[in-house]
Amino acid sequence: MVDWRWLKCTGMAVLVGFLSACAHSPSAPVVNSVPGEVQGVVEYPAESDRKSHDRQTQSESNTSVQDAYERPTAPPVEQPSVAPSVAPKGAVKSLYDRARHAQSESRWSDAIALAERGLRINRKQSELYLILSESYLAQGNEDQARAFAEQGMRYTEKRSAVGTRLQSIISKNE
Amino acid sequence: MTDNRTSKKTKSPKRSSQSRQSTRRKRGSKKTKHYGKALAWRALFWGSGVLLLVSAVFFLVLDHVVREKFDGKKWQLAARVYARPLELYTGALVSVESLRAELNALTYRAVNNVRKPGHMSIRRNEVELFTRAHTVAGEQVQGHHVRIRFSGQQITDLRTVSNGGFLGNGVEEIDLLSLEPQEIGAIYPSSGEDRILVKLEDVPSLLGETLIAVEDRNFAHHFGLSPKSIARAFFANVKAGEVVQGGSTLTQQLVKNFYLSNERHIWRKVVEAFMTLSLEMHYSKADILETYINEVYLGQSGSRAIHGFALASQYYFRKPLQALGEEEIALLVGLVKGASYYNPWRNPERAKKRRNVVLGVMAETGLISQAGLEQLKSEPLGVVDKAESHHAYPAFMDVVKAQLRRDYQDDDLQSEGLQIYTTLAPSVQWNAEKSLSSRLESLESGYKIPSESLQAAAIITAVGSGEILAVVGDRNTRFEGFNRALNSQRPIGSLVKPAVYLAALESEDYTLASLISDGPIEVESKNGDIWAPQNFTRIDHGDVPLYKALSYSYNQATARLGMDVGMRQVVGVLDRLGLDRHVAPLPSVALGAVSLSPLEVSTLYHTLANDGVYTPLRAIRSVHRAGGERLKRYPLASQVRFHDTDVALIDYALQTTAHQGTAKSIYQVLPKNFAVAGKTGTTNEHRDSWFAGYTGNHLGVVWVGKDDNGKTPLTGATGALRIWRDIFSRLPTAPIDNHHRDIEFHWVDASTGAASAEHCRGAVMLPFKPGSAPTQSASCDFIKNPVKVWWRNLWGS
Repeated sequence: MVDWRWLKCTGMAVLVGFLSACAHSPSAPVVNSVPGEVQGVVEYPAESDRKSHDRQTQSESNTSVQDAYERPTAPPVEQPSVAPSVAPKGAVKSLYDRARHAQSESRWSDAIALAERGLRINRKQSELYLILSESYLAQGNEDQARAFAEQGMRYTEKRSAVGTRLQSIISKNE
Repeated sequence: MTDNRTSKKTKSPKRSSQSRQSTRRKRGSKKTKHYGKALAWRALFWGSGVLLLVSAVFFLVLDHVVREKFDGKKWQLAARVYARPLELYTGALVSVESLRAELNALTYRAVNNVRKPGHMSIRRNEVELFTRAHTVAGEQVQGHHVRIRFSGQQITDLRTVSNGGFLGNGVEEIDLLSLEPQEIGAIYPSSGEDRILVKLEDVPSLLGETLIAVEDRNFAHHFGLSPKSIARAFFANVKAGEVVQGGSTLTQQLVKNFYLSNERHIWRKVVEAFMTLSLEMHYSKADILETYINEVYLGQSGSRAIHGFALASQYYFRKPLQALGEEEIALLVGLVKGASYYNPWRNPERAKKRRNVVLGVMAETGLISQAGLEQLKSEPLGVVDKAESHHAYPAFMDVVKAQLRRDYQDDDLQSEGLQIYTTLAPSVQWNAEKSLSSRLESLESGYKIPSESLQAAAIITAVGSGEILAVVGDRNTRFEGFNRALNSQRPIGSLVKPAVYLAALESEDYTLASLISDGPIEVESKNGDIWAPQNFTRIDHGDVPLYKALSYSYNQATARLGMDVGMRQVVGVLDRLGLDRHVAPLPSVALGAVSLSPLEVSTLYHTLANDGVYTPLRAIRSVHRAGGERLKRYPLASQVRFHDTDVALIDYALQTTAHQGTAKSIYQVLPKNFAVAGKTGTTNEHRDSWFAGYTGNHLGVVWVGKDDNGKTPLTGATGALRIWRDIFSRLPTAPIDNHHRDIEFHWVDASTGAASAEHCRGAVMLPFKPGSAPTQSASCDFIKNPVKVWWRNLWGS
């Protein structure tokens, strides 16, 4: 004999759990993957979908802003965690290594150009800001060295090795 | 008497004198004959001497002319402008389609079996590619045979291919692969002559050998003039009764093209002969051949004359010389005889016939096999579509030229052969052009707006680097005229509002949860005028939290906030965002009564997208001499101008604009969980429709309106936003990264701004600077039935 009582209870528990989870789903700004990692990207919708969207937009544009305001005030965000500091990897690592090599040979302009290339791939890579900052400092451009150090500090922990070095550049050039 | 005497006296002497005279005459005539002969000889001698001297002087003068020009700067060289080289790496946001378009533009050939540089094979999510070796910004880049795997619009794997193409296994992962940059334009010498210099060692040997075989087989052995060729041409011309054949050697042709005019005159022939001898006397055959290869006229593009094989290769095939096939070399060599007559676009049949004649010569001289001749003769001409061959991006080039003119004289730009590496991303540019043009057409038909009456401009920028990736300045994207992206200054409407809210948040008196009245407001100016702005919908919303006032673009709340914070502070924020013009701190500025170009708006919004760090926008990366030596870099520059937490709060409100506010139609084409931020802008009577929006790595600013400042039925959301949406739905881009170190999230009651909790009705979670969250709690209407909330969230009821 099948024990329907247990099956019903289990089914109910799953349903309640599912509904509870749905109730707390965020609808606005979301936390994305860690910089430098493979990230989700936009899929281009099919032409037919776009046409239907366009029609919708037309009608929605006639909706008053007041109507929009009255929409349910669901929690728009999920509490994001602090971004972990990610060491350079892949293409950025390759450029980072080349920039460090250029620095070791006092080829400051080359180091700057390579760090910039790396930042075009990941603009939040603090190690590359450190290279920019050090290279500009070596060239005697203290303002730019400090500016990049300040910018780099935004993308690393103050107590990390990179953070400490960036902070030291900021302090010395205040 | 005297006379008689005299006559007597003189008679006999007269006779004797006559006889003497006769003798003398005889002798004289002998002498005169002798003297005349001597004189003639002397004259001949002296004449020859003088002629020789004159000839020698003449030769020396010509010799000087020949050497001076040959040893000096031979040509004025155009500055060449290049797009950014596309960089491929694992994780790069590149779609198969955008890669295909870029490879097509670089004339990569789709083949089944990728065997040599310039070949590609594209399958659904996989591309096999043999990149060409090239030099970019003075750096040598090797060619690679690689396989690239994609997932969606992202590269997931990039590695070299051993052999066997798709069937073979990748052998080595590659960190970074660069394609050669596409040439996107040039700044030409005033002479109209254009050429790309090439060294003889870089010229394919087949090209040099074919040229010699067709034009001057005895080139290696003659001293500049070839009597045999001249005699042959002479008889041919006499027989035909007109000039049908030239007997000129390559050296003579070079002299004719390089030093002399086109006139046909005996005197010019003499000069040509002297100069030819001079050239052959001083320079090696290799020098002469190299100069010829760079000098020869091979086509005409409007006022621009195509000189030299390297440029002709790019012009006709959009390929470097080294990548030319045998039949392509044959066509170029064939054009030497008459570039206009054998123009492959205008006279394809004639050009093909001529090419095949050259192929015949190649086979006859053993340069190609007889067996392959018929196959090559059947090949199509293979020239690129002329319409797309050059100068495709006038609006972007305007930005480049404006930036160059700050650092270079026109003369340097037109003559030094500079290489200018820009930031243009061709695939992004094509996307923006297509989106803008087609959307304007659909807006005009959808809103019954007279056809072609709307205009638009768009700028796409890379966030962080501040590099301008695409510029569209006219709906006719090839139009080289008024560039609205740069030069059209229009009121920006609500695009200015983030500056008002940023000033408020910086003051520490406000948080995103602070309530501000959206009731009617009147401001009296010094001269007694009353300014009473109204909401777009003419509806007052009472007290609203700051984040909502910004995301729904409430005018009355914003005007009040601007007055409360102080318009000087607001204008100060605009300045720090990067505004480079004087704006009077008038109340109306809070609602956008300030006229800016799309480029200026891009600068302001780039600072927001870049976490509060100002970076001047750039269209050029570096400028190099013709030889590759770097002249100038345009480096990334930055200034931290705002606290990142203040900008993060504005960023949050602008993301809410995209999710719930005036720009919510974005999510009709983007996935719901894809974080973007943006702001719509509409000016009085809908004369201007604006949208500025950004993702994690791209910023797009779009303007739509009429050139005569006429009314339109378009708001920011129904006009500019739709173009932005079209662009960004195709653009491989990443969402905004919402990690912020110094931000706390708290539940607050949306109607009171007081602290609330997760299950309370009307509670929203908002970001705050540490310690700024409300401490006073609102009463909580606990939601007992989560199903209802879930249901409402899902259906919006």
